[in-house]
Amino acid sequence: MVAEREIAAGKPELELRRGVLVLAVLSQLRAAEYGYSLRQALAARGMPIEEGTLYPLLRRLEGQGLLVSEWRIEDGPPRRYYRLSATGEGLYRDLTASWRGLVATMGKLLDEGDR
Amino acid sequence: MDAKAVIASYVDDVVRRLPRRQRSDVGFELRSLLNEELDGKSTDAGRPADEAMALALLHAFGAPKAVSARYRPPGFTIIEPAHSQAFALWSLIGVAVQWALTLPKVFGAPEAFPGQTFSRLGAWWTSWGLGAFWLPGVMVVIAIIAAWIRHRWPRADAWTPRRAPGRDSVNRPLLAFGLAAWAVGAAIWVAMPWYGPHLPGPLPAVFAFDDGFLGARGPWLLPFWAGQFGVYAMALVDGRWRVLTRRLSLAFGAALYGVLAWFVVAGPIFRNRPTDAAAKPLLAVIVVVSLIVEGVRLYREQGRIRPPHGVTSSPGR
Repeated sequence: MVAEREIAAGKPELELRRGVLVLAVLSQLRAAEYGYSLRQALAARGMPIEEGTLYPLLRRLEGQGLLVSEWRIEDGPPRRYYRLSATGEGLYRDLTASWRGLVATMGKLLDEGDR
Repeated sequence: MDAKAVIASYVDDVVRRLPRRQRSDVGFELRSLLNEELDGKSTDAGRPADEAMALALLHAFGAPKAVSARYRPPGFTIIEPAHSQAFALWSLIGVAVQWALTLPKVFGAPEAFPGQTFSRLGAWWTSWGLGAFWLPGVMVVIAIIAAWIRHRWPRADAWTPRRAPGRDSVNRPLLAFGLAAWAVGAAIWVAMPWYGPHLPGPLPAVFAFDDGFLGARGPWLLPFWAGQFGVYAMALVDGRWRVLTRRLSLAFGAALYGVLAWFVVAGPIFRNRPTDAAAKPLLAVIVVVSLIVEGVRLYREQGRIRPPHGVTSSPGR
């Protein structure tokens, strides 16, 4: 019953999206972005992420050494800008390769399933 | 309330749950981001931001407790979900047993003065009542140590095949010795009415069975005793326990301990009062311990892997 309710509530899709969250964020931080602009950029590209999930995630990724940040004052209030660190760039490359392999494998599995 | 003040209050609630060194930095950024989110919503709605708009934003963002947890690095689980039910059950049983053993004295003794029961109850609460929680406390400390070991050395938690024989195997030499001891003990017990009178000194009077026990109750023990002995002998011959022997053993065990419990409550076993008074508590302890062992066996029996309904062949044993 619980599993049925979770499926009805779209939990499997949520889990699927959660799995690619870090890669999606890393992909947009090759250039510096601050939290709100990053969320807008991801949403504009079809990957909306709740603000309550994204902003803490940025801090955790920074804590893991994958991002670096700095405060900047440009046209508006002070904002904290994040971009990939050297470690983050390495992880981004590795995850991108894994993702492409996964997409190819899943493509084959799903094509076989359709036949 | 002003919308920005609502956000400031929310951010305060989030950061006070964070480590002190993080609070100012996270708070400043979070307030800035939430204000920007609010401005965005206000622009989309085409009206100035108000308290209701700020509350809607913050409700969607999450409760302060949950949000502060997201800012923290992942911790480690102290009581794993697989163990939480057993942990809760044994904690509650442990406390309940201690209360059940100590609370009757509070209400059982007559009152020397009005209200003495309440004063006894107060004394009980500050001694056994609260003291009974030592068990969950000890269990939590053990769980914390085990969780730290798992976290520190993840390989310590890795599965390794058991070198010991499976749980259905029997240790033949040990079981043979146990059965021999059992047979000797049973023979001593059963033959006591014949050799007892010839024992030296006061022993015949000390160990003489009560006539009512010997004639009516005692013989009931023999068939179940013999049955259980036979089942263990079958396991010894087979070298392992099978479904039939496991179930027969459970059935004979239940009957045997039922008869022993009956002996405890149904009149004297020995003619000599002091012997009888010493034997019955001993027998009661044996029955209680044996019932616990039988309960564990029954619980394990129910947890065994069985083929699904309608499947006759098994992939293993």
